[in-house]
Amino acid sequence: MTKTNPKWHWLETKHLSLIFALPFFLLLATCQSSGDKASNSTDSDQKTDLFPDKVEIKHSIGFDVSYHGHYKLLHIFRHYNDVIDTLTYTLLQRGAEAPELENPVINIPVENITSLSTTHIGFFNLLNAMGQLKGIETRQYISSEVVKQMVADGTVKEMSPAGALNVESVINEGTEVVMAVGYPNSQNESYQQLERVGIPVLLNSDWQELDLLGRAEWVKLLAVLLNKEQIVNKEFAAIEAEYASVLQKLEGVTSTEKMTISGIAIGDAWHVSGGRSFAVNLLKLVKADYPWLEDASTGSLKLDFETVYQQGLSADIWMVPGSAKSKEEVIQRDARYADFKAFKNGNIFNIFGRYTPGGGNDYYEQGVIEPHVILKDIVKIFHPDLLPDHDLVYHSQLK
Amino acid sequence: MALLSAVLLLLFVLDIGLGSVRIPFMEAIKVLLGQSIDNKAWEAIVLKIRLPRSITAILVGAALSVGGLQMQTLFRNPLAGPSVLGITAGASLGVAAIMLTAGTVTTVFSIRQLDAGSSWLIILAATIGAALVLVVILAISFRIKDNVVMLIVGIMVANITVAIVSIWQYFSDPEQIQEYLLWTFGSLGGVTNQQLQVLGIIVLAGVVFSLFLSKTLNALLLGEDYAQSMGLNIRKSRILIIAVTSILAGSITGFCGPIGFIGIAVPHLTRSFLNTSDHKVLIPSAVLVGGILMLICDIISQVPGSQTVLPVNAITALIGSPVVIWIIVKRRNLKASF
Repeated sequence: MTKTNPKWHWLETKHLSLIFALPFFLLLATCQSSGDKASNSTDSDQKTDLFPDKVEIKHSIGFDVSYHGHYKLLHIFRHYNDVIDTLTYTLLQRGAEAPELENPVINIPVENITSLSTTHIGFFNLLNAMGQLKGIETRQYISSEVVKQMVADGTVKEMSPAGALNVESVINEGTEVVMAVGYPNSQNESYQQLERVGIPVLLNSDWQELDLLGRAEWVKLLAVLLNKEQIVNKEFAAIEAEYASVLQKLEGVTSTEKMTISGIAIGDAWHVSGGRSFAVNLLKLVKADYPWLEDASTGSLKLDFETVYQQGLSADIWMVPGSAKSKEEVIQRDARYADFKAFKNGNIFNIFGRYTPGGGNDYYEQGVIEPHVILKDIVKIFHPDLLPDHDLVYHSQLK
Repeated sequence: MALLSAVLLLLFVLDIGLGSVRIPFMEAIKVLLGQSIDNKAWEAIVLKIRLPRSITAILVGAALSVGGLQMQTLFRNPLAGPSVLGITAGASLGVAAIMLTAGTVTTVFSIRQLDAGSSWLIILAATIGAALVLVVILAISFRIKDNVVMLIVGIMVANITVAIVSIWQYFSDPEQIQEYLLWTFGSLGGVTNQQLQVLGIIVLAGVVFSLFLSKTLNALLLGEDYAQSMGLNIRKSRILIIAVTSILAGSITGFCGPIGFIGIAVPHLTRSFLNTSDHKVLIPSAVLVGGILMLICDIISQVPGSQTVLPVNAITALIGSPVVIWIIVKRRNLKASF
């Protein structure tokens, strides 16, 4: 664990890898590769750039990729407060000779991936790579009909149908890479078991991203595993353009009179979004007013019920009241919510525009790769006149 | 007892005056006296948040203290409390069934679909859980003569319930476990005015019934043989005492979560203050001392002046335990009470 800026660390490793790679190139220049049967794509000359299409990470703070002729280096940064931990993986073109690096090696293009988070399903969808998805956590939370059908057909296996990850099943299915969600300090025993048998577990921390595009950009991580840079560059550029065009509509807006609160009380405490959190960054983007804009926390802010209640009495809009899907459910939790201005005006919004009876939510699935649509939803909520033709997709107004 | 009542009233007003939103004390008192003030937000906060919470605190203190007192007398054991028979664990089991099994058991799942997250649903679940354990305990108590055996059976039943909950937790999603974990921290603020009426009636009925039992409790304190020689039906009175305690502890756990410590500590505090073992005096005093202690804990857990709260369940033990240690060490005649 080193306390460095991610970009700096990246440079260091890049230099290191060049030094390691140099004697390697010299060696290759003198002796032709001796009968490598499997290598038809790499042939003999390892100096040629096997990856003419490259991705560039512009929004995400959680990972980076560098290209080195016949292999790529994938750096995953995990942020612990102000400390950043870097995990580096060597992505080696199948058949090519491995560079002398101590990183775990992943042979690309990967053919068999298990994904333990619904947030990745959209990535597979966007890259037209459902064929490489072989395992998921459980079908219960999946929204995608395609994936559900694949589970029914048996082409996709459920790896933790009963809650705990079935490590033996992951190994048995010939999984090459596991994509999971990583939290700081989480010491997942089963992930360690998988690493020990040589199945890398890529800990995706897209929840630490600061904005919608940063979260969506994790699709590029899947793309580099699949050598689908060309497709991802095209698709992601289209998303960026859509996103920018929505932002353009907001240029004329200087401020809004609309005040908002977020979350719902659990017991005596009310966790509202912190002033630098993902949710509040989004509110700032659409120029909404929020009582805790000055707060410095990136996660949530724990407040007393009456503190938020006081703000709720006059807030125009109430965002994401926990898991409540109707006004009825809101007052069932606590009858005092009926005093809120947003309750009386019917301006309560949640992220259940598309959810399944089993508890799946497309906001965390397809929504991840449609940041422009989520942004449109938020703009529609705060400035309905700017997008008269847009109907809420991932958000819903509580009735 | 007049002194205790005065302290209770003082703390009650103090609890309402203090909170994270700064409300001038006189304004809060005006609202309490039924006068209208200009700031409607303050009025709503006092009437809808602080008043119900303070009343809940007193009810919790009263119910758990009386329950604890009865259990300590029945089992003649200073370590007994309202949770000793597994009633609280039973309530937890009911809540766990709602919070943790959603999606795995279809029947419970459909209940949840009907009114997910409803506070009444949680209360109902806790009551059913507590009642189930109560029925088991009562069924066993019909067959057992010895109170010590009864105590051990109660603790074992509690252990079984906790084990079931922990298996459920193991197979649950982190969010569900978190929801359940937060519930176990205890909360006085979740009880609304409407629910308070129900809770108030239950606690009042329980305490009054307990007062009727005070003669029985006094007799039990002299030993079962002696009580029997006085013409007391041990088995019948035991069942009555257990039933009253279960209703008190079960309802509090349902509305506020498992609140520990008060049930064990307050009877000791009360006995040492009053130096009596007459339950006609002890029961009403335990109500007052319990109320006072819970109000103090509530004031502390609100962390006046800050915008945050601490879990009340941690505060009760953190503040109360040293007090109990101090009193017991100072008195050194604990045995005399049993």
